[in-house]
Amino acid sequence: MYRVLFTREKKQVEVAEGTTILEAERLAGLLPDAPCGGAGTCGKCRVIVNGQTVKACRTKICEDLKVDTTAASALEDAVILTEGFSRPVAFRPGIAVHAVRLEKTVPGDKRSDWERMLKSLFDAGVPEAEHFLPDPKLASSLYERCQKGGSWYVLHTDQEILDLRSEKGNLCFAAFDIGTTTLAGYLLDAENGQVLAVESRMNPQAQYGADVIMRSDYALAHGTKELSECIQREINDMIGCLAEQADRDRRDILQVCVVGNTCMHHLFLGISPASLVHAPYTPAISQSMTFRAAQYGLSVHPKGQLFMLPNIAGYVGADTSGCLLAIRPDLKEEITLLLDIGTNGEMILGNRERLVTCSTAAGPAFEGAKIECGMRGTEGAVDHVSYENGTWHYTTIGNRPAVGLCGSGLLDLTAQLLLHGFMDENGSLESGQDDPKRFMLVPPEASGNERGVYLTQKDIREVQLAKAAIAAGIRILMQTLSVTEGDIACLYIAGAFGNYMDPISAGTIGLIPRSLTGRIKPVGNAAGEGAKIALLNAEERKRTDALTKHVEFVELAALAEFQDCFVDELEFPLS
Amino acid sequence: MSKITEVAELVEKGKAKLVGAAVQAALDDGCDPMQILNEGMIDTMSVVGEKFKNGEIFVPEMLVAARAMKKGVEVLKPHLATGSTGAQGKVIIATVAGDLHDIGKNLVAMMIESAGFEVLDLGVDVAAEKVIEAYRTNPDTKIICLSALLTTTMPALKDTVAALNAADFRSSVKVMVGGAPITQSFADEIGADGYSEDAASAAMLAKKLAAV
Repeated sequence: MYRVLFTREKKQVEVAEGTTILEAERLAGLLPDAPCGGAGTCGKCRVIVNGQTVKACRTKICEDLKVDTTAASALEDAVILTEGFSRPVAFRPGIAVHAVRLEKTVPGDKRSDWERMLKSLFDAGVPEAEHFLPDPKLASSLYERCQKGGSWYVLHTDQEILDLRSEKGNLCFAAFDIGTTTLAGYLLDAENGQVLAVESRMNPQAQYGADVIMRSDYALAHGTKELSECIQREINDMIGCLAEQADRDRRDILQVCVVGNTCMHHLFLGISPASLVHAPYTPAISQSMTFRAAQYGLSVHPKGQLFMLPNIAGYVGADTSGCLLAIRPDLKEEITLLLDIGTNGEMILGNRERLVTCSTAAGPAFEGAKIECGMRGTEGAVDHVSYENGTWHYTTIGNRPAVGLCGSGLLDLTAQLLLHGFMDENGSLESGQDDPKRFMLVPPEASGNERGVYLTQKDIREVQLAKAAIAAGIRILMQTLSVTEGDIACLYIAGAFGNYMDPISAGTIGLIPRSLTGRIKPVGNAAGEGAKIALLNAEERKRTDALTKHVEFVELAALAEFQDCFVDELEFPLS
Repeated sequence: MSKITEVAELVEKGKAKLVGAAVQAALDDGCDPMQILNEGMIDTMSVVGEKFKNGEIFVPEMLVAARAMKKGVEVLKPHLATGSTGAQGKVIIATVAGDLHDIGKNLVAMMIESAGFEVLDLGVDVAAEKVIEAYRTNPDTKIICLSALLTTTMPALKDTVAALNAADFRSSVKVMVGGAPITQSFADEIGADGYSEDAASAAMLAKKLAAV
C-alpha cells in the first residue's frame, strides 16, 4: 500500500500499487473532473506530481506520492462558488498554471527551447499551446532553466504565455465596478475564486461634475485626458490597497475586469463621450475588449490583462452587462425583471426567448440628492420608518442621532404618509403639523443637528418624479413584451438602494408594481458580481457579447406613450 | 358648483380621466364652449403656472394639470369655432438637435397654447434647417421657441439661434430660448430675444414679445 497525500485538500488515502491517481482522488472523496471517464483523452484530470503535470487517470501509483490538484482546478474544476448574492458559477478562469520540466536538449534535436516547452505543455493536455507565439523576453530565461533542471511554472491563457516562474506565486484577479458616484473593487484568489479583499471609494471624477452629463461636458470642452487619468490613477491605487489588505503582490494580479455605465466606461478608456450625450445617444464602442492592463495605467503583472465588458446601448452600459452575467435571465424559463436603481434606473425584462431593456432618468432623489434633508446612507441617516398606533418610529444607520434621510428612509416615510392619510394619491401633503406642507419626523432637539429631519412638499414631488420614471419604464417594458405583472416570476433589485429599501414601501408608493413585492430578490452590487464572474469563468466572459447583442433596447425618449405613462405614474396608488 | 368651476378644479388637480366628462356635462348644461375654454382651462392653467413660479407647486402638478387640460380640449375642440383659439398668433417650438428631451418643452408649449397662441410643435432633436424650413412654410409665425435640456446640447442651441440670426426673416420673428442649463446671460450671449425660467413665465414672455 502507498500513501497518497492531496496537498491542496489536505487529504490522505492509502491505495494499492497500480491504482491510478484518478481512482485515488475518488477514494479520497475529491470530485475529480474526468468527462472522458478515465480514457486519457480529455486531459481534464491533470494534476501535478513531483513538479510534473500528468493526467491523473493515466498515472499509476507505485510509490508514496504528494499530489497537487491545482493544475486541474485552476483550469477546469467545477468547484461551485456561491459568493455573495451571485448565482453559482463553475470556477473556470481564463488562466492556468502548468508545472513544466525541460530536459537539456540532445544533440541533433533542432527544436528551439520555446518549441520544446510548448510541446511539453501540449503533452500535459494544453492543445492550444501549439499556437502560443514566442515571447522574446520570456524565452531568454529558458536556457538557464534547462541547465538548472528541475521544474518550474508556465502561466498561460488559452491564447498566450503570460509568464514563466520558478515559484507559482499567489495568483489573483481584480474586479471593478466604476459607478458615477462610488467605486467598488474586489481582489479574488485565482486558485479558488475566493474574495480576498474588498475596497470601495468615492469616484474622484466628482471634482469635474456630479453626474455623467457634467463630466461629459467637461470632457467635450477639455478633452478626456484629465478625467481618464484621474479614474485610472484611483483604480490603480485601489489595486495597491487591495493587494496590501490581502498581503498579496500586485504583480501577481493576472487579470482585471472593469464594468461601469457607458460614460464611466468611455472615460476610463479615454474615449470621447460625445456620442453618448447627443441624440440618438449611442456608445462609441459597445463590444467587449481585452487590453494589457498597463496600457490603461494599471500596474499589475507586466502582461496582466484588462477586460472591459460590453455596453448594451447609450445609457445601458457594461454595468448592466455585469448584472446580466450575475443573473443570466436568458437562461431562465420564467420571466424575470432586473432593476438597477441609481441616478439612472436600468432594467431588463424577459426570459430565454426575449429580453428587453431600457434606461430611465430616475434622478438622484433616492441617493439623497435634491431632497432637503436627504443624505447618502452613512451614519445618522434615517434608514427605516414606521407608524404604529399614532406613533412614529425610525431607525438610523449606526444607531446615531438622526441627521437626514437616506433613500430607504425616504421611501418608507413617503409610504407611511400615504398609508396613514397624511398625503393623498396626488402627493399633496397634509402633515397635521404647524406647517401642513412639511412633515417633521425628528424634531431638532431629538436630532443630531439643529434643523431636525423632515420632509417637504417639494421633496415628495421629487420622489414622484423618480418613482414615476422607474414605474413607467417597467410598464413600457411589460407592454413591449406583452406580459403582465402576474407573468413576472421574480424581480431582482441591484444597487445599494435596492438592497436597503423595504419592498413593501416600494410597492406602496408604486415604485414597483405592488403585486411584485413578494417576489423581490435583492442582488447586491450585481454589476460588480458580474465583473467577478467574468474573471472566474472565462466562458461566461466570452459569452457576454452574444448575450448583450440578444438584448433589445427600447428608447423611451423616442416613444410617444412614455410621457403619458410617466404622467400616469406620478400619482401614488390607492390602497 | 357651476359646471365650469368643476372643470377648472379638475384641471388644476390634474384629473385627466374625469375632465372629459365634466367638459361634456358643461356643454350639455348649455355653457358657452369659449367660456369653458377660457374660464375652465386657460385661466386655470395661468393659476397653475403662477403657483409653479411661486414655488407653491412643482413639476409633477404642472404635468398632470397640463395633461388634464389636453383631455378637456379634446372634448371641447369640435364645439369651438375655427380660429377661436390661437388669437395671439403662431408660435414654433422645438428641442434642438442632439437633444431628445421633450417633457419641459411640452409644458412650455401647453402654457403658451393656454395663453392664446397657436403652437406648431416640431418635436425633439430638430436641426436648425428644419426650424428655418418650418418658418418659411409658416411666415406668419410670431415667435420661435427653442429648448435644450442638457449642457451638452447648449452648443446646438447656440448654433440654431445663430442660423436664425443669419436668416433674412430674422427681423420679423422673435426667438425665445429655455431649458434647465440655460440662463439669461447665455440667451443674451447667443443673440436670442428672450429667456424664461419656467413654463408660466414663458407664456407671459411670449405675450409680451408678440405684442411688440
